Amino acid sequence: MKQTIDEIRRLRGCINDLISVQALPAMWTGQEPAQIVSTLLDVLIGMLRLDFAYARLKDPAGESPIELLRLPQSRNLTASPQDIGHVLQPWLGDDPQKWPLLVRNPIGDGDVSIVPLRLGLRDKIGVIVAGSQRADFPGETERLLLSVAANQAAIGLQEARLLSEQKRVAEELDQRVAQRTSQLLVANEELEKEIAERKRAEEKLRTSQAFLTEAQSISHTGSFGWRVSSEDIFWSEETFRIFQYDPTTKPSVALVFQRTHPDDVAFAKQAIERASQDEKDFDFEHRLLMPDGSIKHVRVVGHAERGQSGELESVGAVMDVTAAREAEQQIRLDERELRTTIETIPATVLSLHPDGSIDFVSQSWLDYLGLSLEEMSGGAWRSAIHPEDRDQVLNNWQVALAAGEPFEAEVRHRRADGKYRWFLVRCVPLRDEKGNIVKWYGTHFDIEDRKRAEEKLQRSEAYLAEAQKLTHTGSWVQNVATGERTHSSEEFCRLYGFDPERGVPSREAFRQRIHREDSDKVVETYDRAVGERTDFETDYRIVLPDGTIKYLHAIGHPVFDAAGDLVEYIGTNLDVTERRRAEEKLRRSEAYLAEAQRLTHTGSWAHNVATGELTHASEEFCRLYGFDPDRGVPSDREFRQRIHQEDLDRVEENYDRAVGERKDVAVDFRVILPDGTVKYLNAIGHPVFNAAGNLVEYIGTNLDVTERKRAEEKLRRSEAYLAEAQRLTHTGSWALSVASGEPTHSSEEHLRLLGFDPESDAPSMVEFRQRVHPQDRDSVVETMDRAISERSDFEADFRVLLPDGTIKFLHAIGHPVVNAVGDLVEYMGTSWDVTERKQAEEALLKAQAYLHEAQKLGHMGSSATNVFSGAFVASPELLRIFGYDPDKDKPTMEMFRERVHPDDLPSTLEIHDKGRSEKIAYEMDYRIVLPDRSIKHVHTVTHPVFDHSGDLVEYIDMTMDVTERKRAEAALLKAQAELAHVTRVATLGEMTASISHEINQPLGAMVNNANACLRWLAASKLEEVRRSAMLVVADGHRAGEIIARIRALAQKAPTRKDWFDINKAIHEVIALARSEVQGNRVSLKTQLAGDLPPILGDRVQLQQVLLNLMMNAIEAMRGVDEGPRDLWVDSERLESTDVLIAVRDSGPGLDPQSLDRLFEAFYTTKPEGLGMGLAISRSIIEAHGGRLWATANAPRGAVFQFTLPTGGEGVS
Amino acid sequence: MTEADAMVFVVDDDTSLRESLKNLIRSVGLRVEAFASAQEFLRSKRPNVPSCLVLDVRLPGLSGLDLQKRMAEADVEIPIIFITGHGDIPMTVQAMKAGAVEFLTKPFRDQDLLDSIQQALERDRKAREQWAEIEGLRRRFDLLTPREGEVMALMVAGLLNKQIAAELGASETTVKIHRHRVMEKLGAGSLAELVRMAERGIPTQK
Repeated sequence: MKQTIDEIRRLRGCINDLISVQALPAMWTGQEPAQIVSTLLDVLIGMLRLDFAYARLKDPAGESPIELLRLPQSRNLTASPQDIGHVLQPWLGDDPQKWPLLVRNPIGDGDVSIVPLRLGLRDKIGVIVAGSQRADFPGETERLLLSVAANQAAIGLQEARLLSEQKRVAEELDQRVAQRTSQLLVANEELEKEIAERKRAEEKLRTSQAFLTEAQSISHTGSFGWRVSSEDIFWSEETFRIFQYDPTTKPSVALVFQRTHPDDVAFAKQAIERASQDEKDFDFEHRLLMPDGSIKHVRVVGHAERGQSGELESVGAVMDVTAAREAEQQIRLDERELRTTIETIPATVLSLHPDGSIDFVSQSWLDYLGLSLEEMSGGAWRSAIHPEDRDQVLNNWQVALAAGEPFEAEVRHRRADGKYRWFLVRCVPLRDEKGNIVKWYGTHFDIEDRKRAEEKLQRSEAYLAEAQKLTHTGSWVQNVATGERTHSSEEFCRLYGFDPERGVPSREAFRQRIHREDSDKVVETYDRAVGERTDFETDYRIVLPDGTIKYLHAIGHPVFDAAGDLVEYIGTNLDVTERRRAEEKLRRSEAYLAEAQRLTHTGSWAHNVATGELTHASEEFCRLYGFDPDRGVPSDREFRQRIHQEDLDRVEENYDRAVGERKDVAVDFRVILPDGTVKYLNAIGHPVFNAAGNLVEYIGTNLDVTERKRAEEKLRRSEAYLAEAQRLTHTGSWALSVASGEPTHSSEEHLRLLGFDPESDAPSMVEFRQRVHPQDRDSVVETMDRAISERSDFEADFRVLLPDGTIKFLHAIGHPVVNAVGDLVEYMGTSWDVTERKQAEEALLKAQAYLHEAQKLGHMGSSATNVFSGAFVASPELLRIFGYDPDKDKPTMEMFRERVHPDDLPSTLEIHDKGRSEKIAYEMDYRIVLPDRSIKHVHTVTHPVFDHSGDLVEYIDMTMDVTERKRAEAALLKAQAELAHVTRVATLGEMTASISHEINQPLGAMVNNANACLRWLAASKLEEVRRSAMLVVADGHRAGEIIARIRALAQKAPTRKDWFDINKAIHEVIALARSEVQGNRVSLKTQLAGDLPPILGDRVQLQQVLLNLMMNAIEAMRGVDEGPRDLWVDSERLESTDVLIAVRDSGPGLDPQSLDRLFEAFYTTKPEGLGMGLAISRSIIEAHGGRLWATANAPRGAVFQFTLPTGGEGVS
Repeated sequence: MTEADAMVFVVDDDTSLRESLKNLIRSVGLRVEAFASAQEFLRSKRPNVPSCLVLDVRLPGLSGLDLQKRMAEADVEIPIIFITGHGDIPMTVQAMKAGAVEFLTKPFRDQDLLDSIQQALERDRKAREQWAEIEGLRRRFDLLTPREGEVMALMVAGLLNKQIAAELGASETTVKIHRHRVMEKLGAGSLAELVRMAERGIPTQK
């Protein structure tokens, strides 16, 4: 049976090996040949337990072959592959039939069987040699394996070779492609450069073409090109324009002749033909007839030649010379006209040479002068000039002649009969193109008559000017047609603020001075008059440069010529400024009056006594009565209608009486306006007599006194309110005259306060003093006297004793009153009843006394600090607590601070500052040191106080002496710790059996290991000896640890808080309790969270709790026979930063009745139990700031859980 | 006994004790495999060599005694040596009755344990030999034809050939031939040997 199994196993092994070998090629993909073979050799060695494996690979490049040698792991390589190869050489290449070969072991002693394996046909790739010292090597299967391996190797190597070949080819290809690409890039760049060049040239050409077109357009020159034979014609834009053809039309000779003037066609054709024949330049002019009938002159210039092709081509320009032609014609016409004109002028004309000598004189001049031409040329004309004018004229003439300037003068020339007549002489030079004077031309005009007329006119003008000046009247003449002012008198200029000496300003200058607001009116008036050919009159203002405004009154009168056409307007302007101003003033004062009446609600009236009607009613008067001021004076009846019925009779009575007595009248009455408003009016009237002394009329005013009446009413009312207010608040007001020393005023309430009859007058000073309580009398008098002498305000508290025996407390305030000069006139003030307040104050004092007493009993002190004033108050008990004497010492903040224990001072200051800055309540515990060195523990609670608007007002502290309490607490803690210790020891006692078992384990192991050690030593296996000894040491340490833990638990150490990992502590407890667990066949499972934060606490105490709970659970499950005894211990992290530990069991569970008693001291269900375990556990947990509680477990059993507060972050 | 021929299993949940036991057992040249729980041991593949089991009574999950029961139910006949921290008499008695080789309480003398181990291995070896023998016999018996089996049963009962023939309703010659074949197939030299073989537990047919 065994052999078969072995056999099967062996065969299975072989098959596995085969499969592995078959899988080798997959591993080899991508590897180098040497790697492949190396791997294979290793595999073979492992698989077949060879002593060595050698391989030689042929290098396809023909270099020396690669040789590899692999040995099993335990052997050291002492020989190189090359040596081995050399040794094996004789057997390589042998016929495989001769396997196995038994040869000398090349790497060791003895013989070794080798199997050489060829790789590839005829060892193309290489050879592998497998060698083993085993006698049964190689077995059948091994042989098979080797050949399969060799084949696989061959395949793999072949593939590797092919792969590297592929790679090489691919690399070459990449290189070629890169080369090509860079070549192409270079070619591309050059091409781009060429294209850019070409573009630039085109641009240039385009630009110059544009210039040419522009030039042609400006010069009205069009260009053309013409191939005669083919009749191809090219025209520039301007040519099209000249011929007035659309630029899209194809130019042709026919089109040209279409436009040519019919009369010129033949000529043009001829010219062109001749030019073509002779191959010459051509230049001729002809006219064009445009479709609209207009004629253009064109000049055609061109050049004909035979081109390269032998074709006749002509190139040229067409210029529109119409304008030039027309100008020429015009000149010729003008010349002709001039000649004609000259021949018809009857004036004397002469021409002179540039030097001034006579060239030509008209006959009429010669006749006048009575001189001959020779005499003239001789200079006789000079003497013909009037002696008075001669020198100046001749002088000026010389100057003009020299300067080449035109010359003009009024000269008297003697007539042949000896009489002098005035002439106007003009001489003008004629220049050639170069600017040189060619001739002087002159004329003489007889102006004698004109001169005389001028003089006359001058004289009358002077008279007129004088008259105008006197009357501030300016005159003017305006030509209707031209709109030009042909005459503006001096005064007219002066009116406008111009100086006539400086010359007549332009029309524009005058117009500018017209006031902006009036200029439209002026223009309109004038235009209308012109249009209607009538006189006009208008008033307007002008503004002079200095800002003065003048009022002008203008009158205009049309002048017609013989034909009846309107030629011009003549007129005058009159300065009416003064008059205007006066009118303005009057208007203004009238307006003021009306305004004044309006503001004061005063209307004025005049009443004619005889007619009984109102002759005048001012605007305001009308408004007062509700009449429309624009309607005019109301009638007497209308007026009376407005008067209130009840007052009407009285009004009439008063007025009639006044009239009868010829006296002033004054009466108040009401009026009712149409809209129902009622007004109070006060009317005054005054009689007016004429020269004869008769009463003509009454004039007067009515004043609207409604407001005043209302104000009076208001005042009456507020006085009543004041009296009422004083009565309600028991405040009385008074006034005291300083001079007389007597009260001048005492309000109703003041009288009541003092116990006087409110209806009576102010009491005298004596009466007042009588009322003052005898004990307070002197101080009151003193206070008042002092105030008066210092002229200051005063305040006094005093009692008054009323006749019926009542005593009131009064508080009086007085204030000095000075007159305009500064003298102290009187004192006025208020007094009020403060009896209730006084009573309240007393009650408060009493309450305070009680409070202090209470504080004393409770050893509690209080203090308060005002935030603004810094004022500090402290109760007597506070002083006592701090060791001060409340009767002697005045409390200050420093006194208390200096008694704080120096160790506690920094933390108290910190808490204090933080609380103050955050404006929150805070408390602190600290010690104080009294002068006698004793120490007290105090607890202070501080509380901010805010007012109703939320602002911080003060801080209030309550301090309690907690020394006794602290002592009691300390004692309690100590007792608890002792009790905890006792319980711990008791628990440990219960666990003796388990403890001893726990220790026995490591001890037993130590014994076993030590014995083993001895045996190893006997067998001389030193490594094992060492190991055993180390195990003994480790076991010994383990035992020591367990003992240490137990000792720690048994120690009565005071509570020591440290940071520790709760899970580790749990594990230690579990280790401790393991024997109990196993001994009771309890299955213990734990689920401890991994990221629990560290716990600050007493490790030992907390372990005690856990141990207690586990022992309870185990105990509870002792009675469970069916079903599992499961105990779970879990730790997890809660959402708050607490940690939760839970101990669950599958025992009988908790009795609901006893749930609440569970944690009670001395409560137990165990017969021998102390009943302290859970109570102590709970107190330990609570001392750590956690909770311990019990609930039922599902499906059965109990769960005890406790929480512990943590540091917050997880333990990593 | 050489190493390759035996195996000692150790099951104890205490790591240091387990290691120390391994160390001790190896120090006397035995092969040893250790497990921390009964389940682990049951799951493992055990080599087909003489073995024994050093077993702690107190184990998490399946206890030592329970394991003993389970092995018995599964016909796994590895001899067991119990070790325990605390033993009580009822436990000991139960274990021994159930066929344990030894029941040792900690701390035990190392020599006691080693001796028990040797004892147990010897027992196991013998048991295997015997079983191998019986297996051999059984195989041979399977070679018999039904008729031959009938004949053999009657031979062993002490019947003469002709009685057998009469019983089976066959001729004596036939019976003789069958008899010869039986003796040959089973390799028994004599009738007495055959009877001994039969007594070894070959089921008698009827």
